[in-house]
Amino acid sequence: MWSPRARHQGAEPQASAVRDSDAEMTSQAHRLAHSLNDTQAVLGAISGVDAALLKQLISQAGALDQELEALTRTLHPTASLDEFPGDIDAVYDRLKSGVGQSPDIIIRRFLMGEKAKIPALLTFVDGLTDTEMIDQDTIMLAQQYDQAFTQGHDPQTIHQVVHDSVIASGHVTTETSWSKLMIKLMGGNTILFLSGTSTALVIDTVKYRARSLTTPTTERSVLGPQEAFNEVVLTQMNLLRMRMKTPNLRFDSLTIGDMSQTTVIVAHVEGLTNPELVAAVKRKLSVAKMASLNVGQELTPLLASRTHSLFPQVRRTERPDVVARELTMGKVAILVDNTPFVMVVPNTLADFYQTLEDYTMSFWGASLERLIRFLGLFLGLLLPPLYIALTSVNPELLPTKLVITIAGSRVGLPLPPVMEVLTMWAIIEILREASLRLPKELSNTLGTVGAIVVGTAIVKAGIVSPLMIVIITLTALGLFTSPNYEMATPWRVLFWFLIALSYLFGLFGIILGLLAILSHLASLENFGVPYLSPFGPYRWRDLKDTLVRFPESALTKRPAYLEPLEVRKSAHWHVDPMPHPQLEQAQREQRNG
Amino acid sequence: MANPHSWRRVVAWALLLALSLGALTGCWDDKSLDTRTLVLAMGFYPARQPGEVAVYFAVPTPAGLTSDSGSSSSGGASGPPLIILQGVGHSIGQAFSAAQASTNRDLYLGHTVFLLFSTKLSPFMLRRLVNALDRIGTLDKTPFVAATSAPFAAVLGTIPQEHFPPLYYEELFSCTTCQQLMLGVRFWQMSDRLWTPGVDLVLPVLKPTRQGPAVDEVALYRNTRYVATLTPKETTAYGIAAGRSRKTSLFFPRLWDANLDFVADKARVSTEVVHGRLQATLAIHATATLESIATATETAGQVARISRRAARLLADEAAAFVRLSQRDDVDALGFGRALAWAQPQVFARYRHWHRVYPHLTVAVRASITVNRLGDLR
Repeated sequence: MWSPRARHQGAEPQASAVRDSDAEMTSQAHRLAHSLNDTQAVLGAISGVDAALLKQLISQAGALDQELEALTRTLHPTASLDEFPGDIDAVYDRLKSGVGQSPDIIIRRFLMGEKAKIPALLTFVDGLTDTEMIDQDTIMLAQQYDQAFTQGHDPQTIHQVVHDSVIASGHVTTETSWSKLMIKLMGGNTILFLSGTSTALVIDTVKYRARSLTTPTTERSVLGPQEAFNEVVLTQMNLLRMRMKTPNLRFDSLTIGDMSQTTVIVAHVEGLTNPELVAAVKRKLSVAKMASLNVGQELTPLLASRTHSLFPQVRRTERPDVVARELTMGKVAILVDNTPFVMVVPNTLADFYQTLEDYTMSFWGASLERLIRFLGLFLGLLLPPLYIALTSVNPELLPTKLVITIAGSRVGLPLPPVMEVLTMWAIIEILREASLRLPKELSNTLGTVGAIVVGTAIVKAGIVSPLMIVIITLTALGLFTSPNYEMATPWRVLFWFLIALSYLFGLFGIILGLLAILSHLASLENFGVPYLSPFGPYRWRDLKDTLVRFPESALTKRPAYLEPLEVRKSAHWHVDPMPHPQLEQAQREQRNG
Repeated sequence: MANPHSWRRVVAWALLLALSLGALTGCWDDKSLDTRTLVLAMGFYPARQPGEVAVYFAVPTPAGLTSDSGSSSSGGASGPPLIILQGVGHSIGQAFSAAQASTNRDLYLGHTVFLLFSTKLSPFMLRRLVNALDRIGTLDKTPFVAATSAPFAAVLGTIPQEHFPPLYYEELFSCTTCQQLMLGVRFWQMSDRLWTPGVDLVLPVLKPTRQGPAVDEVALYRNTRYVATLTPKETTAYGIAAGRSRKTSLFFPRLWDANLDFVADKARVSTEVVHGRLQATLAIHATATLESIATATETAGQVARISRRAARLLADEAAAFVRLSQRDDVDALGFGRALAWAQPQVFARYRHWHRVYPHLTVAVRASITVNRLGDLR
């Protein structure tokens, strides 16, 4: 293999030979001149070459040459390319010719110890690291430290001393593999290479530019906590730890994405969560092969049993309190770096209609709210199809006075009921989509103006009836009563399905459609948990926390469908009334006069 | 890769489902409410030509619908809220077609709430009409039915408080002069009485008055033949005998001026053969409230005397009606039907029940439970 160093080392005897022999030098000069002439002739023959392109090509060739040279220098008869050879120059060359070309990679060479002056190299990603830690706790201390190096220059000893006594960072590990070092470097760690040692020190100086914790926007709560996850997985773990101080809370780490190297954490409570469930989640995640994992949602196809189903099987939440509650129930949470929504599995349909808010109020209020959510769902899903079915196909099923009212509201309208519904729903969807994309201030205005102006104008114009405005408004509100945003999507899609069936087959079509939906829901399962549980299969114990919420004293056990290792959640709430002795004495004395 | 067999199965099921849905012809021929004219009431009268029937259809106009619902999308149409279409023919079908020709929308019978039959209809025509109405699939079988000798428009025109007069009869068949008796008969009950042997048809009679429709009389039919219209007093007796009395008052001037208010009464009819002879029983039980008494506070003895007197009065009224119905040979209370239920083989022996009924021995028993309102002191 061609090597500049080899060429340099071999050139000296050759030069001395040239000095010794003019004839030989002359012949070499002739050969070189001949070669130059040939090159000139070749270059002259080439026409229309872009000078800039040629310059870039030469530059790239130079960089490649430099990289090849660095690689060659690191080559050792017994070492592989992936290992750090202990040569600071080689490391410098390799870094400089590779990742070091990027402006955010900082490579710093310095001498360790005031007297020993051991060559060292430190590299980190600017912006992802705490520079104060690097400057003060690493470089400054390393430059000033002197005691150990006076005793000798055994590289391994030096390495150990630096690890134990010099670096002031809290978390320092060692690594020999170059590829792993690069991943750690990109994750915000600082890598310290010392001359003569085969291992590098990985100093945890990670300091992410994290968004501050804000209030949840997709799952609001009136009386509950007002904290939402941010994008940093470490913060997510911290928020969970704050709520669950048990040492049994486990965070098992995975890395997914060849390029993104995204950290994925599988959280569960050891001794409570079914180990088979945890193993199944990890097994499913371990088969993920993707170049980049940008958002956690990309993992949902792996976690869902029916990937093409409309209904979400993985619950995503931005509320740490919800995740903590689900973990205590025996579920598994999946935290993904750079995604502020944590995924929870397994889930049932009823889970998507529960909020933590339900547990912050009395069971009366919570039960009422849950019933209203389901009522909203049925109203939203069925009102327009029923309107179409009862006005277009089965008007005989309506009370006469209502028929007269509807017929009166439809006098003079140019559109049939189905087109009326489609027109209004299209307007609602457009308004909704536009409000989502616009800034918050504008979206509020757009929603209000759209609802009032379009609603009033379209009735005045005689395109739809006032009754339709009422129906569509109830529909739009009803379909979003689900506390989980993603649960609204399937119902919005199925709405069109039911509209078509009601128009074609009337009430029979609606019943048929509902049966089809029910069949599909009954066929779904996630990690062995039936989606319609606890209604199908019927489980009385779990029914206490579904459509309505029983008092806390009745909810002493965890859901049976999760098959947790520890079934009981809380003790029975038998509180014996204990009278206040002093107060009772005072009252007795008062009664006795 | 998906199993091709499973895909074939899915496609086969989808095709089967599509074909099944396509075969649901009952859904395809339905029309939107916009293309229909609601028929709220129908009247059946004999036409001028013998053998023909004149059918009247009361339908709301667009102006009426708009003003009723308060909608402004029609642009403020004006006109009467209700119009009456007429069709004449040998059958309902013919009359319906004739009336259909006068409107550009389908006459829709799914919301007919009231049927009015003229007392002048021949037995043959009434039978044909009821038979035909029974067979109309879209016709709801629960509208109230009445008999009248007045014109259709006159009957509907005497209900000033309703925007659409037929709706007056939609839920409760009642009027200012008929609230004491539940005289309402629905179409399915009429049909049932016509086709069931051993019981005859009794229809309330609508009389247009200035105060509104008066329903204090009933028309008796023997099979499908109109026989007579009872007077209001006879109608009250019929109400007591048939267990249809509500809120009837009884006053006893000789018993401490006691005033009883009926809450309801029940009547039970039974007919059986005893020692080879047909014997019928009409048992009436009423619940009443002692509304007032001159002594202010009643004793148990007083209540017992009042109860006995009231029971005797009810029995006398009911017996009077039974005699009247036997005279007219109209089994309005269904003694024959009671026999058919209890002893069908025996009833089958009487081919002509109407020859038996006038000679039937009927025992009438009455009892009354008087509830006290409490001390008034």
